[in-house]
Amino acid sequence: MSGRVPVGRRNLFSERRRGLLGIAGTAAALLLVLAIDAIFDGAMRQITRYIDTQPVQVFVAQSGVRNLHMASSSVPLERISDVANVDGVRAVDPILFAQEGLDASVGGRRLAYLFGYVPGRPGGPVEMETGVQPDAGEIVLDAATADSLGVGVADTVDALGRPWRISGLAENLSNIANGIAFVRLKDFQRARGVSGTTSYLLVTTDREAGRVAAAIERETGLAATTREGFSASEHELVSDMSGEVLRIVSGAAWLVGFTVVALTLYAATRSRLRDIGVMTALGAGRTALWRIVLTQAGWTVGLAGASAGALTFALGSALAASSSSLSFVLEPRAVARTTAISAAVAAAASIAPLIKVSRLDPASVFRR
Amino acid sequence: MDADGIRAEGLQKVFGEGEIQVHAVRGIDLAVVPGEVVLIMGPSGSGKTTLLSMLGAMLRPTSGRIQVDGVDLASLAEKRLPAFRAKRFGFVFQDFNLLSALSVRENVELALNLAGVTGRAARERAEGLLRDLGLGERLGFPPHKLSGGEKQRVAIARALANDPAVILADEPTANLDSKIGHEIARLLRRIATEEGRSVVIVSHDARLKDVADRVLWLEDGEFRSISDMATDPVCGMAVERQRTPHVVHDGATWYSCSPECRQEFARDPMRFIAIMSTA
Amino acid sequence: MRGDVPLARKNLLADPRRLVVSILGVGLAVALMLLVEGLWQGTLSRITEYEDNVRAQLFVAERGTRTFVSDASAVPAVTVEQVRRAPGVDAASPIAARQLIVDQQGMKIPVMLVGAEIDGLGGPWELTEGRAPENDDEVVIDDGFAGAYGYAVGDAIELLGEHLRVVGLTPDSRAFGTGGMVFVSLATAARLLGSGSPSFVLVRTEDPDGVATAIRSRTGLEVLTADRMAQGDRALYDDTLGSVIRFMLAIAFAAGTLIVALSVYSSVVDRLREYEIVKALGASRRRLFRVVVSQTGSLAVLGAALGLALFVAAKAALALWLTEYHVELPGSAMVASAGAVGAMALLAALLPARRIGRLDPASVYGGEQP
Repeated sequence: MSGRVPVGRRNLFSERRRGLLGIAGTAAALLLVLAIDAIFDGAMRQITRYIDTQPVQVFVAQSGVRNLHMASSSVPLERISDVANVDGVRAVDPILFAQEGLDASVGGRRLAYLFGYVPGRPGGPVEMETGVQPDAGEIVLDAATADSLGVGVADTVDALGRPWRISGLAENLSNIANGIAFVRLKDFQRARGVSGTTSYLLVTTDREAGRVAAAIERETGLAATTREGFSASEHELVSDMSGEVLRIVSGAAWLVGFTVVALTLYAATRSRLRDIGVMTALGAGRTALWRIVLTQAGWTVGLAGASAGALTFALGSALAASSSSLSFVLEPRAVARTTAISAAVAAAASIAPLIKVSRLDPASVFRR
Repeated sequence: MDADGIRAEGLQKVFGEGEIQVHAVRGIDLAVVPGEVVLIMGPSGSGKTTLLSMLGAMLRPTSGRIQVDGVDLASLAEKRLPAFRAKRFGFVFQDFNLLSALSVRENVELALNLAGVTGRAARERAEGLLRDLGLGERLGFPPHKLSGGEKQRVAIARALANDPAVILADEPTANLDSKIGHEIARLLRRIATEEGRSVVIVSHDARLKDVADRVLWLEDGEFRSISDMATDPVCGMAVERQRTPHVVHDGATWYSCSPECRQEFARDPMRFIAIMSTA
Repeated sequence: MRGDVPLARKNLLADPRRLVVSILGVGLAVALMLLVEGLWQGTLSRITEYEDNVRAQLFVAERGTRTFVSDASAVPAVTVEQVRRAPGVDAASPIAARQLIVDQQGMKIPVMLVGAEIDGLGGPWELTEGRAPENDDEVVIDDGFAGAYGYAVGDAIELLGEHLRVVGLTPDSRAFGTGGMVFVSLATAARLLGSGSPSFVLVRTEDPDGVATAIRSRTGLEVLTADRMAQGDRALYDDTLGSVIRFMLAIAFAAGTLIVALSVYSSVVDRLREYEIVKALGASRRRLFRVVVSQTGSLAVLGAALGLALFVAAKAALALWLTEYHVELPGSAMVASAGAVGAMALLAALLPARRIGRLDPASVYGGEQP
């Protein structure tokens, strides 16, 4: 810029459709990369929403268990007093947890994480959108689950082999794979035929959570994890499972993007080679020539990145508004990383055209 | 501008080695002072392009010296040449060579940018030059919307943008019709005399003789003594009197570039003589 | 047309560098599509390993159960006897089945725990090494998992706080980051899961439909054929991850199409003058369109060939280094990919064809570049 004729930009857009094709192709590759990140980050955020919003400091589970999803934990109820006796523990609340199918006669079926808790105590829905917490025989769904099943307050869903009346809807806690639902602990026990055990114990304490958790483990032999640690453990699970493969797909997408940018720059430079030759005759030094190529690269990648980012954001907003369980979240970290790699890709793709224009012979301008 | 203009001494250019060696330019001396227009003519392959490339600091001579504005080109490092070119030379080409992606004004502005002038200063100077050349209404036009003559005027404005000491023109009128060609020729003359620049034109076009102070004939890489040059009445090419077919008509000798043109002239001499006298 | 100057081929080959870069771009896009699809199909094929291989025709489960991998079904203990007494039942065994997470070398790996009666239905159907569990402190694990984390027959492994001895290995059945199946005795499972109720009762019978009805009326429980169960598992994955996969495929397709379009379009634009001349000489619009489609078609096909080669290489590389991801590409997927490539070529031809269509042959006489 800086008051100079923008030769690079003009060259790129002189053949408008070609310029747009190049930008669109790059945008597609970048969209893929951003979407993968957004889905991953969205899933991460949703997966731990329940845990992150509970007003407790420590999660206690069967020995060796530090996860909610895809895990199995069973703690005999008599252990509650053992945990309560640990120094610093102010309250212990049991919750039952299972992955269950929810059937609605109208809307089909949805898998949900079903929680059994004591209303008024931790473990249940923290924020209600409509309705009330469940009474005997009643169930609370989160808004997205209810939406996908096509039900609302006062409708019925089947779970654990029996029907439940929906007493209220909680804020959206679903993730891509599962909805979420809450019933009374006693109802859960009865429906399941389990009376002597619970899944997890939620511990409230005023003291430093880490210390209390360590003490619980030491004294009871159960697995005790701080809320933050529990949340991190869930994150770890998802990323351990899918991290590698997502990186591979992302990597392939980057390669595609690189090739598109290289192709665009190559085509743009080549079609303007004569003009660039004229410029060298007129006295353009290497810096001026490089500026042209790099500007073209910058504009291509910049516009493509902006389009891809805007599209991802729009998709994310649309998904959020539709209370679908697929959620896109654009974390600043992901955006920053994508931007940095895009810049590197733009630079790398510029190398061949840069070399080409550097080698132009100004005297070629005289040849007919 | 300095008093020196452009001066070349003992210029040689040899391409290749051994058996396939080509002496494109042999021992050329040339001096063009400010205010002078020199026309260099000659057949294809005579070395005109090579000479022009060397004079324009685009090609290093095998031996010999070139001085522009008192500066010896050989003393400049390779990477300093582009900036030197931008500031001291103005180029006018046969194909106009305007950048099609830029507007008329931007084409001229670009030359200024290359010499380090940017922003409003560049824009205003570009506009001024274009208005002086009658292109005030075309500033934002893309080149492909201009006529040939207009394009060449833009090219000349571009050539003048950095107030160069030397203008190098390569077949500036080749793609223009007769009337426009004359205009451009007179423009080049004006640039030399009124603005005190050295103008070197390389061309086949005999019309340019009218505006040249000197005409040099380049053949086989050397300047030959210019015996009188004549104009072929049929095709208008400049020809050397001594070596070409000719016809005597009505006491006057008419020289032709080729037997075909001579035959055509002989069929209807009055017609061609009439055309010549009105041109 | 035979004997015609191969304008399309000459145009493609006129700029070899652009051709190479374009083929590379398309190849990568196609490889990406194949990889995503392959991972997906590979995952789908592995998640139904249990139902596909266990030698039982029916699963008796808690009411409302639809899947094996996700639903936490629990049936009353008496169900086993009720089922055994139903007519037409050749054999019936209870199993306990639950997903759980194992910590290995700092990584969290979900596995499917299955507890089965020794000598009953539902235990490991094939072993690459060793034997099935016979005691309550023994376990059989996936041999892919064992290889990845350094376990061999005879080693001890920790599950939910208990140390069990590895006595056998099953063939690799891992999918998308899971650790495959883990087989223990029913009693061990009950201990680990803290629950005595079986998850399912497996039934072997020659008359699945008749027997299913009988069991349903006697117990009031859900009875699913192994096929229905497998369908349920696949549907679950499809409903959840399926949309993500389809989204990624669509974008990769778009990227590939745009690359082909870009390449051919820019080559057309570089030669616009020549196309003008060809038009002036009398080439019909159809002929010119065919020239364009030949170019996009060739480019798409060459790119697809490279893509396939890259995919095969990637598949081999994954099989070497990231064995927990299983890649499979059934014939139907290949056919679909071929169709996609064809669609790519046609779509990509649209823009360049329109450009040529708009050329005015009369401007041939202008003498200027268009």
